[in-house]
Amino acid sequence: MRFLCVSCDTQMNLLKNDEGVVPDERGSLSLQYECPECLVQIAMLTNPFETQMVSSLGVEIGGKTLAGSEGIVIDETGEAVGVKSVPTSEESGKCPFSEEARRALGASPNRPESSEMNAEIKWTAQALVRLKNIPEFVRPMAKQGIERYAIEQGYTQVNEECLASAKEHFGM
Amino acid sequence: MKSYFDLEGDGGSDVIGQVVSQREKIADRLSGVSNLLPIASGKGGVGKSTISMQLAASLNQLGKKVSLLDADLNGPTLARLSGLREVALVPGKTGLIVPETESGIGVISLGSVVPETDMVEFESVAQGDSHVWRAAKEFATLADIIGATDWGCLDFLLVDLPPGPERCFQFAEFFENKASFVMVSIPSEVSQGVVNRSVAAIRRAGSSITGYIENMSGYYCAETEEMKPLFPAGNFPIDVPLLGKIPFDPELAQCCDKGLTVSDIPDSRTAKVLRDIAVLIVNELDK
Repeated sequence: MRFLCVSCDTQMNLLKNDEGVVPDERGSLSLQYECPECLVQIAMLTNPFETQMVSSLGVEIGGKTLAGSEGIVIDETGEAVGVKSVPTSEESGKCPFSEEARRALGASPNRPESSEMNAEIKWTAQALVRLKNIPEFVRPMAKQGIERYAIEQGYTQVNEECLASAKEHFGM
Repeated sequence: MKSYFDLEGDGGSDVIGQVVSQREKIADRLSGVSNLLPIASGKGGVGKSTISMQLAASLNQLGKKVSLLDADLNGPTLARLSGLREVALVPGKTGLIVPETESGIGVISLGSVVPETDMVEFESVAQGDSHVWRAAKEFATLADIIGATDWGCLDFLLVDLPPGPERCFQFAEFFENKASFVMVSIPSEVSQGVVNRSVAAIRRAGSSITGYIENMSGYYCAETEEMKPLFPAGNFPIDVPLLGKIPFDPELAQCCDKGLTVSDIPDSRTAKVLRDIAVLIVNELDK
């Protein structure tokens, strides 16, 4: 879908700030576009079915972002050294769609993704980086399975050693 | 006034960019796969999943490196058939690690993480009317799984498809004609009709078909020592080469429930037929 400012005959651009893509809790999205010539702004409002259709394509309007509110801190060698909280509207081409829409989309309560699912065990930053390699849809279930294994084996945290052990245990 | 095609890009929504990026990721992940073989029928209940698993075992016995993808997201059975129902999916350094059976057959199936007592659910803001968006969501999920999995170098990746001739067409398009389908039918005319329709759909999409396997083609009567039919012979020839006829085998059925394969009953008639089919497929695709 493309938007044209009729007065200027110029393509309008999606606003990449907190006002650009705003989901509401009923599954609607407000997408704001601006004409780069005359700065006129318009909003496209989707109904829940339209929001769902876009979501069903496996894409997120405005670009992908990390699921959840955790960002991975990478040092100069490329190693993950920590986790920080980031607002989902943070720069770098991300938009608030992902995280907010996840809530608006009613993330299934029986498939929680965060560590609240199993408060007994934490994940190291490196292990969390690896977890992102699991497809989003199966990630909560995979996470739960690994945490179950970790607890059974007496690990106090899910780290690379635990993942390597799980890999061997499950014959991979 | 400018038209849609006069404009470039999508004004920043980046939807097209993400679709292209996903496509590239899938192509990259599958670059080490020599042969992509969707096991299809169109008809439900003819034994696609059983044949997918057993054909993988037979190819594995020939020394081929084989993995399986359970593309039936709503009714995944390969986890049970492979004995990998209770494995955790473990992330590796570069992607999802493929769980393997003891004999080294890789299996990705939602059945490993979704209990058989649960339905597979997708998040939705659209209350009801899942028929509008669910098919798109399923393909996006499948694309995500293929694109995230570290398949490595494989001689064969067998993909167990869900039923429905329209699904055959959709999967043929999804795999962008890089796949060579293997069809499965039972001898009844009802099944042959649906499979012929699926063959037409796959050809319409421009994909190739290696041949078809007739499953449950009869049963072996120990008393008379001969094969007897299970179904009245259908009179609707399937318009692709016949790769082999697999008899109904109660021993194999028992093995399937336990996660065992023909490699556990290597001297059975079924194992021999499947081995012949595997050899035929290898020879056909080596041409």
